[in-house]
Amino acid sequence: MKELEYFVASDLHDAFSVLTYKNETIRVFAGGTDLVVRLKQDMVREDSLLDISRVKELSGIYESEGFIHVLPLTTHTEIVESDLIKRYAPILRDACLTIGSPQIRNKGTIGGNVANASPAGDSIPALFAHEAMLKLESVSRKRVISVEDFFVGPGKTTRKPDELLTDIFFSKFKNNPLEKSADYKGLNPLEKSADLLFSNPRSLSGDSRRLNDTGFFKKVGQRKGTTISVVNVAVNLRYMGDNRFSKAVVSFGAVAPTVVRGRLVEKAIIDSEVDSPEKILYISRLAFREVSPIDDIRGTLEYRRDMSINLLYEGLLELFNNGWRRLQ
Amino acid sequence: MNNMKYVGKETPRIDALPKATGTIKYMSDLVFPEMLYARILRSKYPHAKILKIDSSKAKALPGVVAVVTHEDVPGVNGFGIVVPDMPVLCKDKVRYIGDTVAAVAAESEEIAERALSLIDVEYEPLPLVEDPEKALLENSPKVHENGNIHLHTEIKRGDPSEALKKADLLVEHTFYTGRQEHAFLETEGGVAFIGADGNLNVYAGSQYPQRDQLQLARCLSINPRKIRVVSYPVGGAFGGKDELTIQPIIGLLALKTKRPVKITLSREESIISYWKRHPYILKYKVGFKKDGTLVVVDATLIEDKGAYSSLGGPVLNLAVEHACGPYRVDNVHIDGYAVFTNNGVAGACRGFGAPQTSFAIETIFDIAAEKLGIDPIALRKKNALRNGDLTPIGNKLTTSIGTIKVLESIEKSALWKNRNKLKLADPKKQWLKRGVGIALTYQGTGLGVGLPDYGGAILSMDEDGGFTVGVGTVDYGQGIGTSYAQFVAETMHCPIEKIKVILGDSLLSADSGPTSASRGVYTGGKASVIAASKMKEELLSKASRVMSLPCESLEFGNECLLEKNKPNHYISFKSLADKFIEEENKLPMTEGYFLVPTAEIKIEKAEGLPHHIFAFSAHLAYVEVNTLTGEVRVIEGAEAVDGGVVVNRQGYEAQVEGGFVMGMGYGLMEDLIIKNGIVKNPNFSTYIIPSIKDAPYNIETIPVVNPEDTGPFCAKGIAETVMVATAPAITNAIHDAVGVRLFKIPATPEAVYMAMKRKAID
Ligand SMILES: Cc1cc2nc3c(=O)[nH]c(=O)nc-3n(C[C@H](O)[C@H](O)[C@H](O)COP(=O)(O)OP(=O)(O)OC[C@H]3O[C@@H](n4cnc5c(N)ncnc54)[C@H](O)[C@@H]3O)c2cc1C
Repeated sequence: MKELEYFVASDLHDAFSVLTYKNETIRVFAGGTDLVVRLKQDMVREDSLLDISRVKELSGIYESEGFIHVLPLTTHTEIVESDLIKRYAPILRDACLTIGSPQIRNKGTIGGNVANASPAGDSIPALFAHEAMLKLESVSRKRVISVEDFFVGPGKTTRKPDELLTDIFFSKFKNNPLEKSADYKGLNPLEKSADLLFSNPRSLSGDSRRLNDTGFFKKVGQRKGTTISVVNVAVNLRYMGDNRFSKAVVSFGAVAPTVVRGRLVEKAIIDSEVDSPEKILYISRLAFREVSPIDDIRGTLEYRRDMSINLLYEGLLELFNNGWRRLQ
Repeated sequence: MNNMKYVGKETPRIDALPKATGTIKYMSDLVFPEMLYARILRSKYPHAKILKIDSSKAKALPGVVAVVTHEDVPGVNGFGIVVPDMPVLCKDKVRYIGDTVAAVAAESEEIAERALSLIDVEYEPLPLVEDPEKALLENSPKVHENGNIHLHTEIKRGDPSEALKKADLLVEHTFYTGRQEHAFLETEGGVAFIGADGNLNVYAGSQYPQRDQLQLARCLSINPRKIRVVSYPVGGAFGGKDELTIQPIIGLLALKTKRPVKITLSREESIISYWKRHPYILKYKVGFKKDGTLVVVDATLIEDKGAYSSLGGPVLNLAVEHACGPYRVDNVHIDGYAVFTNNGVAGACRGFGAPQTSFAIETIFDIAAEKLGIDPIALRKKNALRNGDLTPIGNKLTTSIGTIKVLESIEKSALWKNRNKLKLADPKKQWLKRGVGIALTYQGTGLGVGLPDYGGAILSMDEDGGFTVGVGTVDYGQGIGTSYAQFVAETMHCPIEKIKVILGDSLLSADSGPTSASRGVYTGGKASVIAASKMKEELLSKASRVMSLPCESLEFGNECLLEKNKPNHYISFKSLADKFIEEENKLPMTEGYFLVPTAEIKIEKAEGLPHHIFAFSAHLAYVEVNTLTGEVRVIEGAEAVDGGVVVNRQGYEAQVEGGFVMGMGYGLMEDLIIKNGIVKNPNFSTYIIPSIKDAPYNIETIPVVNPEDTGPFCAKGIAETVMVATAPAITNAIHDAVGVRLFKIPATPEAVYMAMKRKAID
């Protein structure tokens, strides 16, 4: 392992100053559970580290004006134990519960999981399913993007070297914030300051919507505990009754260079009456058209493709058998 | 054994406290003044000629104290328990990717690491030997000059080809098993230093200090008496520390630098460089009569030996011996080949050739039971070896044989009795299927015929009236130290708290042979009992003199000798110890040696065969298979085990549970993948072992008492048999659940899924 310079930021201001100064020669260090492995394998290009683990402003879960904010330094354990998450982001909770071991969940952060941009990162499809937004900040800029727009390839994101991921948030009501932005006619939300954009959230019809929300996170790995996903899938549905859905978000991990949305599957769910296991299988098979997996040490292309279909099928069938209520 | 105080009673491990509190010092915890750190330069190619080694730049690096290459090896540049063909430092050729080319001792680990990158080695890559079957062909490239066949063992009894023709049912399949990593918690490591007396001390966890001493003497060309090997404590071994690993390198560097030299391998280096369980290809043809009688086994076993011999020959022979399972069969042809390849190195691993063959033969028994419509336990009972029978390789069984007993016990277990009910899975989840599977196995205890097999113990009295027993075999987690303390405490009528145990020290403990082959309790334990019996005679005669009473009128009481029928007239061990010091100026010391009884016949060209004493076990697995993903959840397990008697219930259960889970890893997930000679999964994020979430919530231990008269307090050894048949029990359970057969382990989720998918397409 090479020698590195090590900076510890005590607050956000500190962090930004070092980051601006060091720019692409420094690597952000949160829980270190991904990074230390890479450091040991000499796979880190940068020659210094910026430890942000003590930056209080970047940790915590809170609700504000119709949004749930999960700040990037929040650990997987904190997510799993949070009542807000249990209520408003059960799919994320299920995903974080499967990450690593208790030790890894105690140290590993959601920001690290997202910024690490592994196609197999387990919180990512769940964040897709909750239609999360990410806030990226540097000393001089703030921008908000949809989680889907963050990933470019394995380990590659649109983050600029002087930016930190400072917030992960989603609507309490599963309403896509981007849809809402239609209120600000003619304005592209990506160009607006995040503060302006969300200072004025439209009131929604309340918790009744949430009651109709259902979905799941599933993964298949090489074993049951401490396992990296060979394939994972997250699904978020809004149920209207009579086996019909007004909304569906489906996302797959570890089957493409980044986590991907299953738009054909989503459309099929919304457009049909999902009223039999055969129908569910038919819909699930569309996943075939959504994924482009590879062979690697953990699984073959064929297995991964089949698992995209079968995990989706298993999850939907479980819900169907349970009257479309989420399984506890 | 009800009248006993320690043997057969639940006894906490004597090393529990230091291990639980972390005060025990493993070799990697040792720090000496002036200590240097070693690093090893390993081969860049899996098979290549070495054209040139230039270490001048490394030597010039400040902080580097020594760089050694083959030129610096003073003795035989090779080690190996059977054939010393593995170079300490390679001279003109490398044969696998972990081969050692040079080594550095430096003031810090970082400097040593940097020095490695300054050593220039010129290689000329050679064609690879990857596939052990192709390696058998005449025109294959050669790993060693003498050809790729390390050992060929062939056994023939009866008329197998005629019997194959006549059989009512012929089951014919080829099986494949994985390359299992021992995955001990403590990687190979240790410290070597020159003591004040000028002797070389090598502190490195291993399984046999006296053999390490001899092998080191040969490599380093020094009198073995001038070498002391301390091989305890050790953080796990499972066979992977039977052979030498880093010891010759640190020994050499300590001699060269005259300073203590330490090395601790990283997990990756450990996995890439040292011993594994041999992968096997097993081609079986097995014939049964309609009534279930096993009439013939014809099998070809191909062992992927890797680059160097180590124990690959004896492993092959044990596989040959156990190839037919614990069954009677008169027509036998077993043709075994241990074949050199460039696929890393393989050697001893818990089970020693039996897990590979057990997977094959137990799958075949399951297939036969299904085809013949016979209950799988009934089929096994019908063919089970009994006392007085000839084994498949033709030796007569005269010791305690538990085949029928373990089958009867497992038949009564809740898992087996309720197996039909247990098959019902959650009706709301039609894609989950459940099943129960069984497998039976046995395992020879000890080294077999042709190899001297003995146990040794030195017992000395301590000043406080307690005793210290020194046995060379090592407690690497299995708990033999505690067993020895139990045996001595029981025999000596002394509280176990006053028994000290010295293990794995070539100077302070008796040579008791290797800690392998399920022989630790049996041999070292018996030797301890013999030493203790001699000690009792010494104490008796001393007490008789001191008390002026004839020996016949004395008997042993708790920590004392007393006059028969006069319990108030006694002399305590402590007072006896005082007397010894007063009168003789020393405390008594005795030695116990035990020659292991062996079979009467010897098998030509098959050293180690046959075994004479066997442990038996029947394994059950209860699984749930997800037909959508191929994931297998082992819900419960059970093992009925004949280890003679139970010496320590806690230790027995720990062996069964640990063995089951290790067998489960072997059956479901573990395989070191080597492609083009390169290890593809050299760490625990890619080499998958079971986690606690994978372990079944319950593994029932069913001890079967079947005393073995030759053993200490009638004990045998169970360390290996408990893991051997778990894999086939699981794959048979998978078949019971979903109707597919697995002929290759590990049965990973993907493998199980693909087998189901292929079956659905057919
Ligand atoms: C044994 C083990 C098991 C694991 N199991 C799983 C699993 O089951 N599922 C799974 O998804 N992952 C798993 N992981 C990976 C890892 O634990 C998670 O991805 C974790 O969430 C990473 O968080 P961290 O805080 O430790 O990230 P770090 O290692 O600190 O950082 C990861 C990357 O993110 C960047 N980064 C971190 N925070 C920020 C920020 N705020 N702004 C910008 N960049 C940032 C870092 O520069 C780095 O590139 C496992 C890891 C280990 C070692």
